[in-house]
Amino acid sequence: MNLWLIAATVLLFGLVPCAVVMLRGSIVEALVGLQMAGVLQTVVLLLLAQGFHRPPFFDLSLVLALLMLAGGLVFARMLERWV
Amino acid sequence: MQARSLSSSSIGRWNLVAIWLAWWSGLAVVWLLLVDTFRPEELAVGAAAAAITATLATVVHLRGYIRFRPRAAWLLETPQIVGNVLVDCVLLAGALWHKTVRRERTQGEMIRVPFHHGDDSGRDGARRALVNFAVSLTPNSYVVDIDPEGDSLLVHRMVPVPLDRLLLREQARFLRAHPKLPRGDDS
Amino acid sequence: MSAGSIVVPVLVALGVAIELACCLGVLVMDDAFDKLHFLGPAAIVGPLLIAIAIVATESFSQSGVKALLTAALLIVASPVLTHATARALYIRRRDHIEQDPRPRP
Repeated sequence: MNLWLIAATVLLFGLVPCAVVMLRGSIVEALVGLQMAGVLQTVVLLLLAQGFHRPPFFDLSLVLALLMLAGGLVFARMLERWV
Repeated sequence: MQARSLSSSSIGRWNLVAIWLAWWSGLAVVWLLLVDTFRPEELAVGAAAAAITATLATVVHLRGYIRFRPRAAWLLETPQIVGNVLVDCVLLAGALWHKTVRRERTQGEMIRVPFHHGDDSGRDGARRALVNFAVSLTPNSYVVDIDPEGDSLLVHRMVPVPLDRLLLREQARFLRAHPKLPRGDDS
Repeated sequence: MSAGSIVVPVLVALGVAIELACCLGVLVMDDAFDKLHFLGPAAIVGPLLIAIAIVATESFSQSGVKALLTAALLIVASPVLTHATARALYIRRRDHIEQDPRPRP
């Protein structure tokens, strides 16, 4: 266990408030919670990649950040009028 | 936004080459940063991938879907924006403190800021996009909507503070574009 | 104890603290418009601090560069997503698809 893995474990607890917001809030609040969870997971993957000393794992966080942007925009556009 | 037909494009041939080269260089640099090697086969694949994407991007430019011509001088705003991001983090921390520890009612506000929308040119399009980006980057405020007919920005902010330099400058631009309007306050 | 062995843990701790504080902000704020503000520091400052910590450890190796690229992508994505989500909420309330939960003065 090193600093990076400890930090990643601590950050995972941040998913709990995000889940609460997604379950209890309105649909747009749920989207905010989802985006927050996405950011959190990107940072967790960065920390895990560094903690396990596996440079290829950094690609996971990069791809997640990209997909989070695209997915968030799709959700936001759908929520404007169609859901 | 109406697309231009390929034959009637007003973008010159050399401008197209410059656009293609700019895209290709940027993409090739990103490829090199990601693969972190100078092996010939990696360079060849990167060059080919960058060429395909640069071609697609150039076609999009040619069709006029992107009208984005920022001014290099706008980069001078960057230190101010970075400073505002840090200050706004402190403001949000204060709001969170008031909400969680002092249990006070904390509510943001929506304000309308006069904003000259401009036309469909690349310069005005870039200005709208970058103002939106800069205001939304700072945590205490973000742009909710841009009203083209009303020439205003709808901005939500968590903690009421005076308008920053960027919004004041856009407000001044609006007043220059509408000299006959009565001058009121900014909210 | 070298400067690097102090700086890196401090940067990581600060980054984690900012992320968790922003999660708390998203939870406790009443309105979706207010919650959205906390995406900013979470996507901009937190990842940047952690990326800088990784670069301080690994220098500008593949790991360091990719960490910075990820942070840069999040910095670019955050205002775009915030604006898009805010606009969706504004349209929903304006068109009465969703009610404003609190009366505003």
